[in-house]
Amino acid sequence: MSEVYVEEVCKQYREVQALDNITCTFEDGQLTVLVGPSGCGKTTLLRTIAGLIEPTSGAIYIGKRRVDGVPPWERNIAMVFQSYALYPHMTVFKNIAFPLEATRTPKDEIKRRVVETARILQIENLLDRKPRELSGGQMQRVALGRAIVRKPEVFLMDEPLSNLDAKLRVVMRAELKHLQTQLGVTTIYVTHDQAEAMTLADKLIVMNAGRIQQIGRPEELYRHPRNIFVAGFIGSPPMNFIEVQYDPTARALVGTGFQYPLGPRWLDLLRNRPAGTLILGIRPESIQVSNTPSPGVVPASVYVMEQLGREILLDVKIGPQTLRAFVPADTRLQMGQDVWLQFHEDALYLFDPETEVSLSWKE
Amino acid sequence: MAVLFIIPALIFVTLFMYYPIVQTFIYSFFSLHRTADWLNAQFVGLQNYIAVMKSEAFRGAFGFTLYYTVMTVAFELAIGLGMAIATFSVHPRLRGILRAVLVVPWAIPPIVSAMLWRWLFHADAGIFGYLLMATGLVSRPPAFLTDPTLAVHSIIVASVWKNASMMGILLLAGLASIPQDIYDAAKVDGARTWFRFRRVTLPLLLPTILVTVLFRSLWALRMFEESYGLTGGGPGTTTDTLSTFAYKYFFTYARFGVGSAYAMVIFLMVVMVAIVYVNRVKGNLRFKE
Repeated sequence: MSEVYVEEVCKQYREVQALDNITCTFEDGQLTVLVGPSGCGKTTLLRTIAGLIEPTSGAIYIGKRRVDGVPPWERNIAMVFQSYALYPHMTVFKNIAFPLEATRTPKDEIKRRVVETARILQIENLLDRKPRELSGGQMQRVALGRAIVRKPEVFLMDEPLSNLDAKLRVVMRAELKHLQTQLGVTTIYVTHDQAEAMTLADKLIVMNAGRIQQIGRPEELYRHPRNIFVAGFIGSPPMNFIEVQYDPTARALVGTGFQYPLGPRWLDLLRNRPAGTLILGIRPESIQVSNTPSPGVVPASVYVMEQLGREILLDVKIGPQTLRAFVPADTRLQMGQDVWLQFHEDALYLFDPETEVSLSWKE
Repeated sequence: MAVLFIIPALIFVTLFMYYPIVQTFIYSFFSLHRTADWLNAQFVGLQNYIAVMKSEAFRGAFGFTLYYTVMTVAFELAIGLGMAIATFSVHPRLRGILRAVLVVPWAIPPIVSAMLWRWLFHADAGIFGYLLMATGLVSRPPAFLTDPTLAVHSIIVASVWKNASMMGILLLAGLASIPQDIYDAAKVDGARTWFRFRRVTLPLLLPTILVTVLFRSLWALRMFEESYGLTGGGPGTTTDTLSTFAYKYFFTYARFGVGSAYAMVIFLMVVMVAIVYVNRVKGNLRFKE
């Protein structure tokens, strides 16, 4: 068990900067999730830690040992692939035994550890099968078995649940989390699915365009997103963004057809800011929708209603812009109907349109 | 409608494959030669086959054909595998060029390649003889094509040169069909290069190897061009194969009955090898689905 430390790592492909000066720590025994849209560099970073890709510059440490330049087979890591990458010509037993055989473990110990691993993952009855005789979920377990059997310093997981159907994914997600906590091995987990990232992570690293956007615990990232990218990426459905004008004399934000008076907290934050454009962010779950106007509310009209059972996801229009909000499932609304939206000041985010950084962000 | 599309191929195959096979089969039971009266040819039963089996030359040709097949296929497999792995290990951009280079010996028509090697091996004008002389190892150029042992091996060398590249290309395709994830998994699983090759690459390549060896063996059993072009079967009949014998009986001695019997023997041998082999290989192909 070890901490993984990545220091100023860059990876340059001919014209693409896949990793742009990445520095981060993956704490000992924790599950850290690398999350971001496809092409953001998360898999490249994972493969760099695995040794399958050599960084252009920078250093990687596993424990106290510097490992960049060390071949993958000497890094004492285990990796679970999206495709599972099971050896098709070997039985489940042989697949799980492979890492032990590769590192010259005595035969009787191999047998003992494979059987023990199979018991943990409840695949003892599959040991004689070949991968083609397994279901997706079973292959997933075998892939996990192959990873945990050698007791590596670090687990690397590259979208391990993406090939499972939605229902099984949720089950495996819980099992994975349980297993990881039980084993206490440092785990680096790559996914593009923010819901998966939120539920699994002890710590999240959000990446975009080869750069780290923000690092933090899931609820930190949800509550205090550093910039528009993180705010829009974490949370489902994503945060709403509206372009507004800050008017210091009116002490308010002015949008299409509405004026939002600011409270003392925001006025304090905006103290030195001149009048100008800001991006207002508000999460769908923080908007209150009412049928009647009242002071400080934003007028809108109903565009689409999506009945989700527990609640209704509402698309409303403010001028040309669309916002999403939740209302209780029994709310009676019609398309085109006028509604009034109330934002609680504490649930509000403001972003600089140039830097896209949150105005309430403190390093 | 579907039948309509099959008809051209059917006509072609019948005309150029089944008809000659049947014809040869029938001929092999008759005494047919240049001066015979073809319309009243004498039916001789299995006599042609008995003559073939009894002849010293047949046994020689049979032995040479087998030896040639085993040697060439073994060396071609080893060298082809080496070439495939070397080509696969280089940068993808270089891989394309290497692949093109690999294909060249195979693309040369067999008889042209045989002529080329005949010159290389030539006792007076050949480069090999010259080089050996230059190193001072020999006092006069070896008789590559006229000494019985040397001739046999010269033909094998020429064949290996020509066909190893085909093996290489096919094995390269086999290598490329193994998912990269599996190699990567083996790497992070702690497997070093040799272990990965022995435990992952080779077993996954096995189906390709078996099929390649099958096709190449069947081809080698029918070998004609190299013998015909390099030595003409000589010295004596040392490098005659079953095919060159069949050819000689047909076109040199004009003994069509015996020639047909030779051809049928090759045909049956190849069919037998194919059946045995395909049955044995089937199990190994299964994990590929």
